[in-house]
Amino acid sequence: MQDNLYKEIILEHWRYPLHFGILSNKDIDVTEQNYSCGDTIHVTIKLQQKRLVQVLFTSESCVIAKAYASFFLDFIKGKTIQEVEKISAKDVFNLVGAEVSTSRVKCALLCYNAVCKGIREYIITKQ
Amino acid sequence: MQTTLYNPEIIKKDFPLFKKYPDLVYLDSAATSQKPVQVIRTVDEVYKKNNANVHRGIYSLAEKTTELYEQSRDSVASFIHARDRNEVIFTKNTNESIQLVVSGWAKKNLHKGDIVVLSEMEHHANVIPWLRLKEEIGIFLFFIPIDNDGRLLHRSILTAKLNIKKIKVVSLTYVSNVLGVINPIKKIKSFFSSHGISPKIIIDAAQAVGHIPVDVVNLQCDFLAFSSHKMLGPSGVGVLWGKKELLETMDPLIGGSHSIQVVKKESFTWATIPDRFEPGTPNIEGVIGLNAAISYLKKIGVENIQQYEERIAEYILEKLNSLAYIKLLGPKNIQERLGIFSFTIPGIHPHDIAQILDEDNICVRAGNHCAQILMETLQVHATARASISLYTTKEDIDRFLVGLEKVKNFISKS
Repeated sequence: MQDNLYKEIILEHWRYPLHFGILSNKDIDVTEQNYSCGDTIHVTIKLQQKRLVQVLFTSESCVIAKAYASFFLDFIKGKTIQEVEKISAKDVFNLVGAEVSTSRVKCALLCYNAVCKGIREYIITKQ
Repeated sequence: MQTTLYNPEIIKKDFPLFKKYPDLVYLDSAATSQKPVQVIRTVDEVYKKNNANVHRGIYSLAEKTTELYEQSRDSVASFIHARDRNEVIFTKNTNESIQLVVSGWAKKNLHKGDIVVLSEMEHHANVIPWLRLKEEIGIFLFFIPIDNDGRLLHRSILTAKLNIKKIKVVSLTYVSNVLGVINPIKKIKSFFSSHGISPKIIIDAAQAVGHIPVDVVNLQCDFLAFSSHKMLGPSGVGVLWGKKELLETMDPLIGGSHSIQVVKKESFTWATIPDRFEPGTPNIEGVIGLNAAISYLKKIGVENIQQYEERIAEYILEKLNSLAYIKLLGPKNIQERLGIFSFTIPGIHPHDIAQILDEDNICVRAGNHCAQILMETLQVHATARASISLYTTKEDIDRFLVGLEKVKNFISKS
């Protein structure tokens, strides 16, 4: 049982997510799906000199996916692509500091996976 | 209701998992059932007293194991009223059983343009093998739509601009693993007959066997697939029942030992049924354990189980229907359904429903239930699902309902 999975800080981010929305002027536009449950997240990013100056997301997802997206985007906003590429899944868990059961790992990493995918695709198309 | 004969509290004592976790409310029996001590003991005894390979050894120990293994085939045949024990094939699970029909029978007998009728509520086990065959030989798939309560609208096939003479197969779930609806298989078969066509009828009975009496002759089907683990037996064992004359023309999925008669450097000949479909060493202890599960179900009586589960299902149905914040899927009428209840709560994701219930040791499933086509039809991407079995008590349901209130409060707090 995950006593602190729904701790207040997570619920706060779920109720009032940071960086929620869609950018019209964006360099990265990525959608990621959790195939085990069908949850989806849409992330848009504006870059300036390889720095993530604006990041927004929308999602059709559970508390965990939404709250972790809010935490994660707040963390990466202002960082460079290179800095974001160095972030590991473990860093994402440490960021929130709650226990995540095995069955919810994919939920917690939905936004992180979307951003990684978006950056990969951006790099490939710019090369 | 024969309450004197049926005591769920006594039945529950047969399941060691509930002794280990007396506080557990297990409402995920549609995913897999718990196992009674009689099944666990049987599997244990295979290793302790009867462990040898089947169909091979001449010595007494091996003969005893083979005898136990084959007794299970008799037991399955009698349980589903098969006319011939050789019509019972042991597979790995329902998925493999259906794949065996598709690869072994359909691939040989269907041609480009032939129509296979499925429904929008099928489990992926009864979709993917057909989609693969469609890619391979160009069959056409028609998915019977459903009404708002999850009933099949099979008559819509007449307005679908199809050449119904091309319908060669109707492959349907007996009981939906999401909606709990019992599909009127015989009625659907009669519907096709009345239009002058006799497609082969394939039934996915994974959610039916053990909950309601299943009679392959009465159902007038050609193939029927189910799994041991959903009917109190061990996992890793499935059953395919098929009409003898069809099985005899079929190719197996895998070739190898025991499935053949004569092997030469240039050629080989297949064994007769059922051996042809059971190459290699099978799941011996699982198959023997399935026999113990059937004995257990027979001892209680499937009709008694059906009556009891119906009473519990009726109680859940009444309660869930009375909760304004619950959006229940499937028929509102108990006569049309079994104890599988999928629901959503607007504003809260099914994963969160399941997780909050888990905090009070209540196990429900959340997700798309391997039925993505149905999720699309219902315009949801996931649901929560509570499903019962013969050991589910009214107290379990009351605790589940208290848990749902907690979920509701979680939303209103938010």
